[in-house]
Amino acid sequence: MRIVSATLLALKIPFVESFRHTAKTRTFSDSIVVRLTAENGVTGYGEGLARPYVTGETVESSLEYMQKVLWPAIARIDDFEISQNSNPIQSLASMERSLPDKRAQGVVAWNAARAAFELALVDCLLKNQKLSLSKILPPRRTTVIYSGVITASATEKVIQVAKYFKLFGITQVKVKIDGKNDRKRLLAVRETMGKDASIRIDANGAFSLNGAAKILNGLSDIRIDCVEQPIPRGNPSDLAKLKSELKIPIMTDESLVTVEDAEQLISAKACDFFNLRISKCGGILRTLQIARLAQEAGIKLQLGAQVGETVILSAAGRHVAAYLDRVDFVEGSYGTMLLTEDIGDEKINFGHGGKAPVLRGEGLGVRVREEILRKYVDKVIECGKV
Amino acid sequence: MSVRSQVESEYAKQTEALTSSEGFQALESGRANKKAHDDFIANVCKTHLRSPQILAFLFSVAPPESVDEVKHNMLEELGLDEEGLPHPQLLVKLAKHAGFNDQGIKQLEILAQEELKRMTSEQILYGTMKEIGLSALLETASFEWMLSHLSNRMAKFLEKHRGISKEGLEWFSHHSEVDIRHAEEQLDSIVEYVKYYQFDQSHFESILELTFRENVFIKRYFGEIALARQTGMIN
Repeated sequence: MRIVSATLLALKIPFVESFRHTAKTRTFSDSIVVRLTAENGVTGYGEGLARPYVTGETVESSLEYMQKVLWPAIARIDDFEISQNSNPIQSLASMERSLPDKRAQGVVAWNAARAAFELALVDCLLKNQKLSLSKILPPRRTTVIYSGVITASATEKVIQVAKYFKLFGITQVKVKIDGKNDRKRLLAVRETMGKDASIRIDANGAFSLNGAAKILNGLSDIRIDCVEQPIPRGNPSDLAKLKSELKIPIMTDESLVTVEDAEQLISAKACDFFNLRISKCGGILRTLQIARLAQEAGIKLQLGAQVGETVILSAAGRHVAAYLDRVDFVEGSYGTMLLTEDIGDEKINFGHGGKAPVLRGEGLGVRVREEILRKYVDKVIECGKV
Repeated sequence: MSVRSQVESEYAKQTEALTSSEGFQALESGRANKKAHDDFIANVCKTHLRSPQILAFLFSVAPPESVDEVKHNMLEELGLDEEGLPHPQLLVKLAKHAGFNDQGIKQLEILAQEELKRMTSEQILYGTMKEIGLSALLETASFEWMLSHLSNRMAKFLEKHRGISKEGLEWFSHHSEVDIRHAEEQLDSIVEYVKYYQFDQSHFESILELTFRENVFIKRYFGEIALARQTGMIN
């Protein structure tokens, strides 16, 4: 099957309320949606979220990469297909190889752009074959259980959100920390959510190597399951050094963008957990490749999400989370808990207990509502004949 | 603060935000164009066309002390009371007077039905029916409270700036008269509901806050983008 056109849509979907961590405060989602149309009219949707402090991509540079590099490569392929293979990595590999990698100053990898194109291709090709992604990634569980995320806000607000999560039956939460009043906030979360709740913290690289161990070890009595990205992305040996001093397990996030990052982190024995995110890691295939490396090395997994993901990335995350052998924590599928409106025909938010069912519909298993998409478009780029 | 005064205070806050919103002020001052008026009318219709179904749900979870009152409201909404004025028909009349043709009205009914379908299909965050019922009751009652305060003003601007006749505005006039009583009764129903289902204060407050995380009036009558502008989420 041939792809004849691509539409790149930079969105601006307002949040219900702002979301804050050390690297950024957001009031809207700046997701990029890619719509690919095949010669027979079948369409597929993909999504990526460009994050300068994660992959080095901005919305503008990501759109440019999609338009000038990814689309011309896709447009040249005459016959796309996804084969049903007992090894999903092989099923996706030939299609994914058509997406070129280029280096650029200041960009770790064009992964948000790649993820958006890869997901759109997967959705389009599978819809054309009337197949669900769950046939390529057979689910190992029928229900995926999601965690809540609490932003780095004032203690009163943190308590309020923790109460909501408790009311929703959520038993795992991640709390964003920023080096100010963290202990007070975390004690409040522990008290509100109860002794059995699983609490993780995410520093988004807020600490320096010298000071991190002392500060974080001072929180260990609150029973923290792991700390995500305590220090900024850098040499994996720094993380390894910190790991040897910390009483709390380390999860890497911004340090883990590419497959090469994963190999280096494993080799340096730098962490206990990987936080995979489909947009950050460059799509489903690369996420699975990193997951495989992690599992071989005994590293535990979280399947995370970017703040502001719509139903498209949420659906892709659901498939991957259901497929992985073992996944300790899953984030995302917040939908209209965060976005004032999602773009899907049906909401796929998790429900009580953080539980959400596996998706079985064709393609990614969600239908995008064009009229909602149009409401939130900030910029559109049409790509046709090359 | 009692349950009743907490709820009333929240309703007053939400109503105040609606009247000071850009959309409402543009309509009331006459600055809004015809399309803005028609969008507002369409949104009012979409919001309330399926009210009988929502009231039927509230009837099913109503405590014994308030079940007769909820039943009466539901029958009144359906036009099965002594007045015999089905409220969805009054909304259709409003749309017709605003110039919506049969196809446009059909479309409003489809959209209202789709919204109801989505509401009943999605994953539910609350763990029990009593929580869903409280949230639905709080939201339904909030509209009656707001309409009891504002429907005369809404009718006035639609008559003055959009030229809708009094006949076409019957849904509003009916609400301004009936909902003063309804609003009071609904507040009693909420107090009764909280007591009957033994919500503790913190539990009740969490559901109240969650139900009104967003301004439901601006969102439903003017849309998500208008609300986001009002709250500063987008420019």
